[in-house]
Amino acid sequence: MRKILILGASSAIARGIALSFAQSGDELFLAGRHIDDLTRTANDLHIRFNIACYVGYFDVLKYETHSDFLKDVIDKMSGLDGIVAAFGYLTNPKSAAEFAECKKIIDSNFTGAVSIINLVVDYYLEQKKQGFIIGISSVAGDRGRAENYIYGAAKAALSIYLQGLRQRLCAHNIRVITIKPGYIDTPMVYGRADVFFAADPNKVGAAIAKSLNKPWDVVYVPWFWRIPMLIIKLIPEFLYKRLEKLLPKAKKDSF
Amino acid sequence: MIFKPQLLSNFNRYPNATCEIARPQQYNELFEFTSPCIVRGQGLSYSDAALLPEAVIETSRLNRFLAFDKKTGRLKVEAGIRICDILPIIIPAGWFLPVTPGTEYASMGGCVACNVHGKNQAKQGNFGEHVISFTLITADQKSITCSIDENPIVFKATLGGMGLTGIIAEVELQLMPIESSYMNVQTQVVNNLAILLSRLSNLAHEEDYAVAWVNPSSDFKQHCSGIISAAHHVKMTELASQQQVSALGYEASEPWSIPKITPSKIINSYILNYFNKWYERHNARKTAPYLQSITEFFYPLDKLTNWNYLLGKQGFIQYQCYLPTPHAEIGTQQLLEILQNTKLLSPLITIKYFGNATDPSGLTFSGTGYTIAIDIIINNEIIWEALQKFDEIVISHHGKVYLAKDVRLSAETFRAMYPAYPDWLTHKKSIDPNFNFTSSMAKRLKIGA
Repeated sequence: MRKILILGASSAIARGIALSFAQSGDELFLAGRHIDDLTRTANDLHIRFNIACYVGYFDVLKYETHSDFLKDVIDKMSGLDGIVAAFGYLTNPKSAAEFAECKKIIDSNFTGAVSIINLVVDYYLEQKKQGFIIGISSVAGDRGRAENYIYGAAKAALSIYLQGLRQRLCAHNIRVITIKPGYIDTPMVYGRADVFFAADPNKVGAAIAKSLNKPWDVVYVPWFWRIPMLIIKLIPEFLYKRLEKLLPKAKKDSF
Repeated sequence: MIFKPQLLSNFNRYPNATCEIARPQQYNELFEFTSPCIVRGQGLSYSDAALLPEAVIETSRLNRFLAFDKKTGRLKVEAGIRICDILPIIIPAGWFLPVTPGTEYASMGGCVACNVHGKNQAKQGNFGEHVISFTLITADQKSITCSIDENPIVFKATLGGMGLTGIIAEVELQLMPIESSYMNVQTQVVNNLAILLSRLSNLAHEEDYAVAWVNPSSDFKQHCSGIISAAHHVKMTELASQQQVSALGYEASEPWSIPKITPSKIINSYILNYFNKWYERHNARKTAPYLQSITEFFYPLDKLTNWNYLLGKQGFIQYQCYLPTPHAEIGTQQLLEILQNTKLLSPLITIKYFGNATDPSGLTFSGTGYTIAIDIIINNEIIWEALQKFDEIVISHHGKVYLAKDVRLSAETFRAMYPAYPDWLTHKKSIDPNFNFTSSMAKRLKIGA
């Protein structure tokens, strides 16, 4: 079966994705900073589905460690067939004094992704592998919103990066899938008053895993988010910029 | 941990309270508990034990397998895992829970905290008898292992301690071996309470499991009609060779779901009478033993998720009491006659036999006698008066009410029913001196006052 690396594997969505892949019998490498949590998940998946499930430390912001990290993963699993970039960081800094926070958002969601995914692409090309890359972006990257434009900008950058990669790697039969989640029932969204419906992360994880068997490369999860996002993308700018006044204010930080 | 306000109630939908509720995603977040707080599993008890307006910590995401030895049947899990998550892994490996409550959606932590019982209490006792150890996060934020050898006092105080000793974070169990996932079930109709009780206790000893359904539409002054069902785990030798091949097969149930709309008067006495008549007739036809799957026999009510919504927005009570054997027939008769006189709407009455009085905490629902469970829809103010009369009868017969099915016992009746409470309180104070862990139930019963 496939050998899959999941980055940022303690997140609720990543656990859902890991569950789905494990159910299909894939071998997994769960990477992130919370080793205790990852070990629990790895043991759980091994007990349930009898798959090999490795655990390793990965910090998306420590770019200098990414090369050795990837070598270690490939070594432990004796190969690599696919990766899922499920790491992310969301806060909503607004003032210039919060620049360090802005940089952290951009680096955690975009720069770090570029660092590790570039390494994976080089590996695939070198090995002539028809591997896959699943990047978890966000609906927030579809258009800049006053509430969360730093996060949105980073995710938009990620989406464009994945899009360019997709075009470049198409000829090599390497699949690059961009996942755009709407509101998912995870700690990122928990407790927010403006969230009208948050999807179950295990169901979302299953949909993400299944995206490999489907032809679409940009996948909204749940699927219906495609509809409001299309409308939002089509609103002319002179109206769009006025929407903040028209829409109800979120009580806490929003997407 | 992030807290958010949410209107919460348990499965019986009464009482409800707006609680600040957190849902940790990672195990270590449990150490960030607040003071005061209570931990909540799936909220499936018919009580207010998992409610607390100040803080509720819900464990549904801490639901992983930690270790499973297929040879010895030792299983270790995070406490938020549900029975239905465990069964698909243990049954095909030839193991089952020695004690299971009536719903497979219950969490392991909940089973420990309520020290639940099943239809085999005489043979296997309560859930706690099969708990090898658990990890408890205490009020001073330490993680301790509790077992008969390690921290035995806290171990015992937690089995049935309704979550008031600390956070039950991980549970280690000894499972029971099974040869197949089939149950051999036999049913018989009875028309007399005395016969029902004596047959029930006989079958509880002869078979592995026994339970009686009492027809709530009976004219209890004249007779008491009911259906006893008894079952045992089917051994390989009892199976035809074709069945032996897939003897330990497990198929997850595909339940039907009631949409969560809440008409308050959908169930009335006509519908109940009609249903009861049909149910009795349907089961009376089964004269020979038949096979059922584990899910069909143990979790019949889970076939219809959200069935509690059928009983109306105002919710329902279940009065579940224990009566010792010498008093059981008279006591049950008294309860059923009051029920009939008050004309309260009862959709379900069941009776089980208890044959094991082990009580590690002093708050466990166990004994040698019978447990009678009466569901009552809350549609009339007289219910509270009637239940007080029930309490008087139960106390007069040296019985007790199951805390996991209690929303309205008073502090006094609780103390009368659980004379070992003061000892338990001493242990509770030793592990949680500032009463960090409390609940709406604990406040109602004036625990510590």
